[in-house]
Amino acid sequence: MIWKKWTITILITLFLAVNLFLTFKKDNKITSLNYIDEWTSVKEQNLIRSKNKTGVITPSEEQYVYFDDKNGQFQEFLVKKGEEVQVGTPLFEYSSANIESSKAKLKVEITKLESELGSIEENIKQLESLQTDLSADLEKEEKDASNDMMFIDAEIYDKELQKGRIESEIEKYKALIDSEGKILDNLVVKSNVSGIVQEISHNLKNPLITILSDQQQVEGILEEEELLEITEGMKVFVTSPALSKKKESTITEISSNPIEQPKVNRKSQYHFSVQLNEGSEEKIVNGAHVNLKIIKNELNNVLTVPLTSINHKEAKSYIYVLQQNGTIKKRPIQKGIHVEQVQEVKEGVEKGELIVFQPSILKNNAPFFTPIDMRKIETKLIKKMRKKEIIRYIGRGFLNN
Amino acid sequence: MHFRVQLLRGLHRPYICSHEMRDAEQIEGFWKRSALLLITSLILFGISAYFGIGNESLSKTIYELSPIEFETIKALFGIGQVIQGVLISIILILLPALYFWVFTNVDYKKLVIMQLFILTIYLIEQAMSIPFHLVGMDQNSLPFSFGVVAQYLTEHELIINFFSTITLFKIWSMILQVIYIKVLSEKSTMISLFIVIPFNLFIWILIALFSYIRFEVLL
Repeated sequence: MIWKKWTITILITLFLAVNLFLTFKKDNKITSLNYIDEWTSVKEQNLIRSKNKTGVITPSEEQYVYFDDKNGQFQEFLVKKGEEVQVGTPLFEYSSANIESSKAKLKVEITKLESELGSIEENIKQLESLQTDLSADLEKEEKDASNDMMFIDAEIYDKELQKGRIESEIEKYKALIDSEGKILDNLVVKSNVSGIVQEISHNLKNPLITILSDQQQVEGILEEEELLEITEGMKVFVTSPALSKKKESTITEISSNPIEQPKVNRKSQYHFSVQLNEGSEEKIVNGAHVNLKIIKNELNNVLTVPLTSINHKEAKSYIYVLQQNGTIKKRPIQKGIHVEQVQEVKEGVEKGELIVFQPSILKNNAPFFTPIDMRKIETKLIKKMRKKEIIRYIGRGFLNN
Repeated sequence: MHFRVQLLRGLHRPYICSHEMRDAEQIEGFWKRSALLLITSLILFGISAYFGIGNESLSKTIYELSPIEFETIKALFGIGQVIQGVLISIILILLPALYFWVFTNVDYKKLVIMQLFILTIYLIEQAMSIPFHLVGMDQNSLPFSFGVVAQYLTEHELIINFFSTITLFKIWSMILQVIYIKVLSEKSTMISLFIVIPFNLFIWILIALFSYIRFEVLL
């Protein structure tokens, strides 16, 4: 009896082994099916490759206002420490005493020149009336007269010349007075940023006034390798618990020198800054830590599939498409970029096509079957269906082999 | 003499069981075991239908229907499959017993008990097929059937269907039937074989034809 049991066991094992071998042999003709428990559709969406960093809010600049004694003597400060200033707010004033006196001197000079000018004009008039007299004599043919005539002509010419020179002199002084006036206007030094007066130097040491701009920026640190893929001008979203909405901005600057002295055995780090756009009602304090989302790459309306749906074989990528005829098709694709679990597909699929979510061993061109997803069944739908339809599908299941 | 219906013992010790059954005047545990088997069959075909085994003919509608419609229709289809499975189980108990009862003088109830053992084998076979189906083998490619070899030898679908119906489990069932019929009816081995084999062949051809025609497509 024992040998009989053994023979049977061996025969059965052999039979199973042969069958399994024939089934899994390469390029076999054994009919098979694909069990697909999860599938998804090819979607069209925007892909954003981003990098998350943290940063800190700092004032974007400190404005220094200098005192220059060439412009005059210091008169008084027009702002106080801690005061808020706008663009154009007067900050301090130079004394105007010197300029007023030089202006008066110039005016005296002009009146002097003007009286000189008057006498020359008088002179020219006399010479001209003399000339008309002489021209009358000339008609009576008097030889001496023509000589006198020539002399007077020369004289008039000379005076005209003098007149022109004095006129231009007057112009010059007027221009000087104008410029002094302008200096007078500039005696009040105005702020060209808006912000807060941080420091005032009462002993007139430069910088006289320090203004902290109310423009803010975010400062962060980039690692050496991140520098390769993050450049100035990239879009950044700033988020913080202190902000109700995320702020959009760009990287304004990445420093080209590392923070610390470059060393061979240490990775370098670089500063970068993001200008916070103006015009937001929300205030955030300097020194607040914020989260930055740096947009490295943004692709609009590209076809995407989950990363898990792609199979790789010999440097080629494949996906498995559920076809309308109820079979699975292995299809090569051209990959684009991927962001986390989402892969861009450049070629090989169409929008809305259904693909296997996580392909294991699948047989090309073989029919597929899918499990029943209980969560998606709606009894409402069954109630709406006609009885005939319901019986038809139950009947199909009943007669299925 | 009392005879207790013990399904696994019936499979494991057919000689002893069949002799006990022949001499039995009272039978215990018949209804309990029948109910147990039918409930098991309900659960088993439920699991099989839940995995969608056999619903590939519905896969063509995956693009036409909304996900909800698709799943609902598959569920209805699955209900049909479960009804089929349970009905086949019931037929498997009653019908062959009727046939054997006609050709022997054995008590019908004893033949039904024999068929309970056969149903047990059938359910084991169904349970074991589920994992093989899930790795992609269809009805004709199960490793314990002759369908795989048949596919290498011929391309004729009907023949492949016929051979894939013949499995190690079916052969086991047939051997058991021969043993039980022989002991219960006290007939010779030859006559027992002659009663059992043609009947089983007939059933297998019927099943092969059934898959070949694909009645469900007509609906």
